Amino acid sequence: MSGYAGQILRVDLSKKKIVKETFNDRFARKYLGARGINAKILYDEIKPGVDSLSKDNILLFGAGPLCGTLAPSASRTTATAKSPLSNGIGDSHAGGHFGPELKYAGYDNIILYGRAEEPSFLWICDENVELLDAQNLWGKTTWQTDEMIKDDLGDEEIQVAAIGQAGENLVRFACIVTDLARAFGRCGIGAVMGSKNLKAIAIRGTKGIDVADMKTHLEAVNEALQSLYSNPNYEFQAKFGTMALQSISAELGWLPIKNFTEEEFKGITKIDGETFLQDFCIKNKACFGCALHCGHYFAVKRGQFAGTEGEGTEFVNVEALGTKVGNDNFPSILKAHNLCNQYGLDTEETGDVIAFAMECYEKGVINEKDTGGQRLDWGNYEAELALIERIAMRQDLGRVLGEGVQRASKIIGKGAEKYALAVKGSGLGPYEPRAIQSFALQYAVNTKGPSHLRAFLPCTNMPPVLGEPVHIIPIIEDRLCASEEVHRLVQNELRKNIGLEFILDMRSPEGKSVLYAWYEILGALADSVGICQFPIVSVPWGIRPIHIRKMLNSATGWHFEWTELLQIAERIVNVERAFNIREGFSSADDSLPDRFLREPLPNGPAKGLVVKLDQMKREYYALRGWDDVTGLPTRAKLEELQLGKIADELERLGKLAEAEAKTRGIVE
Amino acid sequence: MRVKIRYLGRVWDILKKKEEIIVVDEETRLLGLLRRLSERHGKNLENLMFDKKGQNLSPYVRVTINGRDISALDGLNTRMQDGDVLAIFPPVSGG
Repeated sequence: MSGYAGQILRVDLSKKKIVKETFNDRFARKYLGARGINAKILYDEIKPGVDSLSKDNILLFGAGPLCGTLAPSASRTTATAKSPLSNGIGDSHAGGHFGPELKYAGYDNIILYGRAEEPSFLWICDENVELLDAQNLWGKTTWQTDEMIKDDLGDEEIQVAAIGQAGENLVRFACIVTDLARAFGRCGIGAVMGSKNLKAIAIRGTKGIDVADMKTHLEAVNEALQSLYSNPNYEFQAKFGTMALQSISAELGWLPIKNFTEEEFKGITKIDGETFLQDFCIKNKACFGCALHCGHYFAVKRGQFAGTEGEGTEFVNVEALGTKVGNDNFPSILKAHNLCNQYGLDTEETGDVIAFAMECYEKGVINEKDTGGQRLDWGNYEAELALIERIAMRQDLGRVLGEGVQRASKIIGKGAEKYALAVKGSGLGPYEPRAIQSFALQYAVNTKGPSHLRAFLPCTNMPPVLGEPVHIIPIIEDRLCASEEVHRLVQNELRKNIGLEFILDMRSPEGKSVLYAWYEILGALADSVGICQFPIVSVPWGIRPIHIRKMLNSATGWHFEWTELLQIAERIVNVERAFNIREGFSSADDSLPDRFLREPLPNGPAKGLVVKLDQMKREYYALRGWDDVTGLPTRAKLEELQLGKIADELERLGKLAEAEAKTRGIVE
Repeated sequence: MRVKIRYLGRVWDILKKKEEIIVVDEETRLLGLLRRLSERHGKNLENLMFDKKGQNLSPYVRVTINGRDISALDGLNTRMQDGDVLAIFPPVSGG
């Protein structure tokens, strides 16, 4: 199978049994790879209601068909499990070099079942696959684990994905770290790995990937690269990466500050990307095969945190560990970022729980007795660093906070729930939803919780995607339009916004359902073929959808039309939705905390705004072809996507739109 | 009237300056102010801000006044007010 390595690795940790399975061509054509294939296997192979931290959950890794090929920025890899935060689908995506190495070893996916009796790590070296003892690695950081495995096996080229102490201690937002600073960050995937007694996966691959039509593939790769290099934003994005977003977010009023309690941050110029480049950045760093090289090596040279060195900090980290907790001390943020990577903690949720604790402290819900004598004032970075360690080790207040924002608030009680800004059990991503309504919709309806990257939404109006509308827009219009009203919206808004002029008021809910629906499809496609969304959307349109299609078709030898690719992406979105519905999720879970719906932003450029969710949510459901009130999929939509068996199962559970309507007496 | 100008991201990278205060007349519109900034900072800024014909803003630059995109105001015709904060930066997304 060209483009694919050709095998799935099934590892039963309880029985120490390893099975190599030939990749199924028909299945791959329906779900592409990575996120898509992981989602469908998760749906098929775990029973609803299983405890996410029990041996009955499964953990999947997947690399898509473009991952590891010459396609630029094709390093993205997906880790999927039932999330210990949401109890719904959890998938998390990392760059680096892990996915390409997996494919060079001969595998597209790894599926991990059961629980190892003793701490173990999985060693994959081409055809040689073994479960090895990891007693000596247990209790070590991800950085120590990476180094010890490479030393023990005597190969610096080995790629490691490991959990730190946070994953071992089942912190519900533990992540899996690869390449020292690239993380399968959100959804608590690291806790699932810890619950399986699996410390790491180490891979060395020496094979290649067969490409069906190398001449056309190279042509497509060159076209994508030329498009990227010639983009007026290329040089800027290659230099800043995501770090330009601090100052721009502050200017436009989207920066989460002090647990979303305000929207003005006096210290922003101390922690913006411009300051980072001047004072801390050493040089850029790329993930596998990426011409955009948006990562950075950094070093703190002076002061209390001198000697702190690392890589890969992003806007989200500076926001979560900085503005969200009121901290404008950049060296301490970089230190906190490193600690999270070493302990294996998701930086975003770590910032969320610390911000939550600080607001609880400010409002008198907790005090020094609860914090072990520590004052949790906003911006107290000493307390922040101490809390990161306590969370990872599950000590003192960290024992409670390690449950994630929502669960921690219920344990603390005394009105703490009011300050827990969570959706589906998980803390919010890096944007103030009242100021940028498309993100509000994303945070509410995203199947994996309030992550900001399900759809790589533009934060500002974007330039036109020249040449693309003829390929994309008629298809989107045809596929996503559920009603005359929505069709008019598409005609009037989408043409302008996606294709030709792209003028939107980011503060208004108008047009945001269409925007999210389109970027959600694009995201499912990019995640499933294994291409990073940053050079697609942020440059913007450096790598364009037409390049993805041409690279995919030439790599696989398939001849996907746009309609087919968009249908696959929509199928994946529907499988993920169905997984959550089967777990008991409903439209009520597609909501936001009251703070965003009822409390106007107190200050800043977007002062006075609240989220207007209902309108956007109904439009979004309608655009997806679901019941516009309940958000339940319809049989017609699922059958159109060749998901008839899922429709049957949802119907049996009374969770298909038509069946649910019948029970309410709406349909005879 | 005094207007604060903020240069962010790519624009900061060209000018190596985060902000400055400009004194303008009461009748000043945004286009006039941007032309003045072009004269003050040279071709690099002008090329970044305007399209090839030099008449409209480049799609690769966004301009806000007090945090509002000018497309939601009166565009290049927006009248400047005393104390306004003008920001110039590239389009962005991600995180």
